[in-house]
Amino acid sequence: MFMDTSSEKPIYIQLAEWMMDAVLSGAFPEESQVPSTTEISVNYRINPATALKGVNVLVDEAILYKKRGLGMFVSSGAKSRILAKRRKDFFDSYITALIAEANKLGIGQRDVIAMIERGYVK
Amino acid sequence: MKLQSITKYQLSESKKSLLIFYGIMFTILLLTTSSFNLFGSGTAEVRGTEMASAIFIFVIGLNSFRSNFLFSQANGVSRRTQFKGFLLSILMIAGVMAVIDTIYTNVFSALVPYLSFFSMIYGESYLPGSAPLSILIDGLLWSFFLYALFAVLGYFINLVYYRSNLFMKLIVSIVPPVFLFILLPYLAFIYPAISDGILSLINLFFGIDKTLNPYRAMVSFSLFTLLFATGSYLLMRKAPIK
Amino acid sequence: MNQIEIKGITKIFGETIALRNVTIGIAENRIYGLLGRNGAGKTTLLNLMTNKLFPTAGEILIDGQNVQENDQALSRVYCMAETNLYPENMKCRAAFDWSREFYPKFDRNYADQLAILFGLDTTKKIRSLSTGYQSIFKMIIALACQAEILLLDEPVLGLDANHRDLFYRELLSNYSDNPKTIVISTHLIEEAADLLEEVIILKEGEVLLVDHVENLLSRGYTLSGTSALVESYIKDKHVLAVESFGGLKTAYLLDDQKREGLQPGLEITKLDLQKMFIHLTNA
Repeated sequence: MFMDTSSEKPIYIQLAEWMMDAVLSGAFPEESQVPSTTEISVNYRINPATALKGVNVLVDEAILYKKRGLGMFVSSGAKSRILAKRRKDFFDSYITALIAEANKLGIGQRDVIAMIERGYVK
Repeated sequence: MKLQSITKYQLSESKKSLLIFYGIMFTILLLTTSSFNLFGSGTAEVRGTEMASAIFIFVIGLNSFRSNFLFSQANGVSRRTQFKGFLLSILMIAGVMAVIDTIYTNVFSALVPYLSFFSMIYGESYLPGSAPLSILIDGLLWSFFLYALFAVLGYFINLVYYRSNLFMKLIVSIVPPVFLFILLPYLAFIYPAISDGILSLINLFFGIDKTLNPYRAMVSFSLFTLLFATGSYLLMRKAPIK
Repeated sequence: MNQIEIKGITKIFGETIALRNVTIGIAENRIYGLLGRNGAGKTTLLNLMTNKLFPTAGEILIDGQNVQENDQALSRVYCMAETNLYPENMKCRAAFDWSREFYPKFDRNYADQLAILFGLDTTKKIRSLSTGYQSIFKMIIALACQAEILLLDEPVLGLDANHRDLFYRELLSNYSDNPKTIVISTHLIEEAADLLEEVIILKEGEVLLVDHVENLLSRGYTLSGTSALVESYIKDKHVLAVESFGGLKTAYLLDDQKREGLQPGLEITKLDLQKMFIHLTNA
């Protein structure tokens, strides 16, 4: 189940992220078919329009593509594309925020790097 | 088309009752015939089975509004179409009953001493020489109009009750019977002119004043049927679901 | 143009104003939730939409045609009413037969399959069914009749959790395969929230709001923290309700403004549709 009822993220975003996770983990291999929006809608009890929206996010990012008459498939190279995106998100969400917080607390760059290295030792 | 469907429905709802009714009628007639044949009729006579049919169709009319209304609403049928469907179905039933009644009473009258209501009233106007077919057809038509009237009357009464609140229901239940069976006879007793007036009205409508004219009765029946039908539709057109 | 136009509908029963100047546009092929407290006017509105009642004022149009006494317009709609309108003596399968008569697109096979799925014995008379199974019976007709517009008044009334789950699945499956306009009136908001694309909230006979669910949810949020901080934050915002607990306050907001100026000590969490509804209709 991908749905986190307490999350603020709209359902279609949660769906998109869940499907990306599945691609990364290999549950949805590249060039394989993914569940249809009807299947997603019925299984997770969400509105089909919402399911479609989530799937379309991934189509827009070239992670999924549509084979006419057959359904939605995982694009080749989807995995690396997702990883690249996630890396960028990681930088934006964590690194930028970390630096901002460090600056707020008056922790200098070298101390931050030292902290990170210490984190890896643990 | 919805009119066809709702007519079909209203017919099918009455089917069972019709079968039971005629089952009973035929059984009674069978028993009567056989007992007359076995024991002789003596002074006994059988009369006027039309009244049984009239009362039966009255009851059908009485039960025709409410459950058909709810069913029509469930299936998106307008009140107008429901009403038309009722009229179509009830006229068909009245017609069929008139035909069946005419047939079996004529068979019956060949076996036992039997007089139909129609014959009782108008029989004398049909001279022995005249075609036997005319009394048959006139009797059939007369029954048909009679049944149609009783059916629509029942429907009308059903509607009056449906549209009435508790207070109105009480008024409608008490006032007409009291008027008809207590007040009117009392007044007629005091003022004989009233009973004379009523009698002459009845004679006029039934076509039994100067001559015996069943056609006059048929016209009267039709007029009253139209009256009650119109009244029913007026009560029905804005009927809310309850 | 909207498929269903409810224009200026007012309905008065004697002394009670059940609906007051209600105007709503319902677009084609979406799932709408019709929400409201008991007595808000939901059933009255659905009855008006299906010619069961006549408005005191206003009109309702389906594809531009007034529904009043209009067989053609009404043949596009099927309403699963809360009360049973079928003759009690009728057997379920006879009711299915008649539904096909009035709704020619009625899928009898599908209806029979659903009956098996839900465990409905179609040889039984309607009056012999439990409340739950009467709902199931009506619901099967609603799903199988293939009307363009489905109005469902408390469809899961009396259904156990398993049947409710089954119903939602079948509804979504049906809607996915054959898109139609669906309006669900329900009290079980939490359960139904994810199925809905649009929502209409009635309060005391008036329209409180009509919105896309996603839009509504994105504007709503819960803010909690120390009383003073919460108070200053919510000063200029649209607040639905505030709860106090000791020195802490929780505020429920429905606001378009950006969530900035969030100091440490303030926490923002999701405001789900049911909670939003409760606070919107409590006042």
